[in-house]
Amino acid sequence: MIKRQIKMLWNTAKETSTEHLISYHFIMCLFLCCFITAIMIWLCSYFEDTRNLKYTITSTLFPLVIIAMTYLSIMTVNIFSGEIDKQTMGTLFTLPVKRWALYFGKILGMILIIPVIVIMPVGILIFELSMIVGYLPPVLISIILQLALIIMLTFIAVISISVSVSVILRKTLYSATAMFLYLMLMVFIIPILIGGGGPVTRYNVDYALIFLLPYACFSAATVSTIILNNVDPLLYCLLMTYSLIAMVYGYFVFRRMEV
Amino acid sequence: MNVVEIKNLSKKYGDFLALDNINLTVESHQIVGLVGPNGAGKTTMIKLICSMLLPTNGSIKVFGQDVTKDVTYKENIGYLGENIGYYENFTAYNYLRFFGTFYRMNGEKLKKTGIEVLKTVGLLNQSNSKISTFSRGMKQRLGLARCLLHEPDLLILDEPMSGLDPTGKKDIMEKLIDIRDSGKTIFLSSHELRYMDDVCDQICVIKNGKIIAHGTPDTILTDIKGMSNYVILLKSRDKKIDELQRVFPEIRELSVKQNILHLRVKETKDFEKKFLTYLLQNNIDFSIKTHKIDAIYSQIFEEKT
Repeated sequence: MIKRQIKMLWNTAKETSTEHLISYHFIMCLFLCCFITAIMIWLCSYFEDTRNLKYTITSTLFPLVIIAMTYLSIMTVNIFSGEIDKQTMGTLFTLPVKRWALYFGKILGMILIIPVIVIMPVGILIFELSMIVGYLPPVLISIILQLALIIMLTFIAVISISVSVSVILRKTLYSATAMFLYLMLMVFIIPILIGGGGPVTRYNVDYALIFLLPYACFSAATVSTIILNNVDPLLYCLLMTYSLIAMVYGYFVFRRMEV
Repeated sequence: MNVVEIKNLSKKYGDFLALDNINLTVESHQIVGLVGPNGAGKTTMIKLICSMLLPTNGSIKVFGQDVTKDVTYKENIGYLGENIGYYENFTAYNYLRFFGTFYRMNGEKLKKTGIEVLKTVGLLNQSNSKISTFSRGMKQRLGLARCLLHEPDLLILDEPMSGLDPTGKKDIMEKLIDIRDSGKTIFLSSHELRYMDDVCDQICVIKNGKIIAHGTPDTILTDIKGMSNYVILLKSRDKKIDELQRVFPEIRELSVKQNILHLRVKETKDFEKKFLTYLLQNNIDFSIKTHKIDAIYSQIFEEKT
């Protein structure tokens, strides 16, 4: 029974991710992420001292994170609230799939598209950096990979929060508005409160702890990279904790959902 | 064998009691119709059977499995709702393929069955068209194709004929009879009482969340000592028609509009026989059709209609 449901979960995930990967929106988002990354790396290397490569890397990744985070939260709202609004969720509830398999299958489907959205721009970043500086020291590659990992965890946390918001509010309009306000809070308001935002923020992991927002973690991680030469492991743990809490909370709502 | 067993089922939406202590069994190889006015609780009951809603009290068993605890029974049911949504960007075939994967169907089998069911519902030529281009009736047919895809033993249909033209309704009804004859059970709700009359082996009349009658249309009609409605198509207007009410005191209402004679008759044992003999003896050219469920409905919901 469990084995069968796990197969159903995988099936749901596969269908969800395939549907997104071949969609026009996804291709546009991917193109935008790659394009912005490519442009940013040139701009940063032009205006800044290329010796401060860590700073260049972190600055480049911020627009990518904002674009992809917005896209993923909208798409996640669409696969939960959107399906409730379009009344397709009811049909899914009549399938021989347990609610947990359907719920986590949909989330997994969204998570599966994250590597695609991260790997391509990060690949461009590595390629362009190596073209500009001629040689990339292993420490820089390690930093890029650590940041790529924290970006993926940030996206997972954003997806989890979007899912919770969607299943609680149910209506696409309400969920999308709530997520928009949440992203605004994450990207603009909280970084200003932290002190300038982005990589100029002084590193203090307490901010990530106080503001329970994935972006605060990512922001703290980039500064941690500049100062400590690596990402503070606490930030990985924080992001995973946010994701887990949001996912489990959303599941308890979804489990009792009536359509 | 009981396909559906509902015991002491209640459903509340806040303070509103949508279903009140429902007890019902649906036997196999039958078409069971759920009849009642808007807001009576028909859709709620259907959604509870499909576990789209959770019961406040009571239990529902489908094929002996508790719907709140198990999902394997869903491999054997096909559900078509009145206002269900469709993935508009999918083509008809891809829509079926998507759902087929959840019923352990894949590859050639899925392709073959998909084509077969599309042919059955008359959408084979539109198999590669996007659902967004479909009319409501076509979507309804596609929904029925989805229900039939995995060859379930129980079909649960909530207003399957809504949005269909008369030919479409007739096609669906004929299809439902074929499905029933192939050994499946159908549980359907509809406002199309005349079509229900033609296909239902049993009907279940629901009012204010309570089942107030359940059985074959004939039994219920006898039970409630109801009135039958007759529609008689006259080839020409005859003066003898005006005398009908005098000759047959059972006729409580009589009206003729554009050569269509409407009768509302208090059921008596030999009325039909005597009435037909009278028409034949007086050379009144006619064709006739009775609507038992119509009669039951108007009798029970008289105060509403």
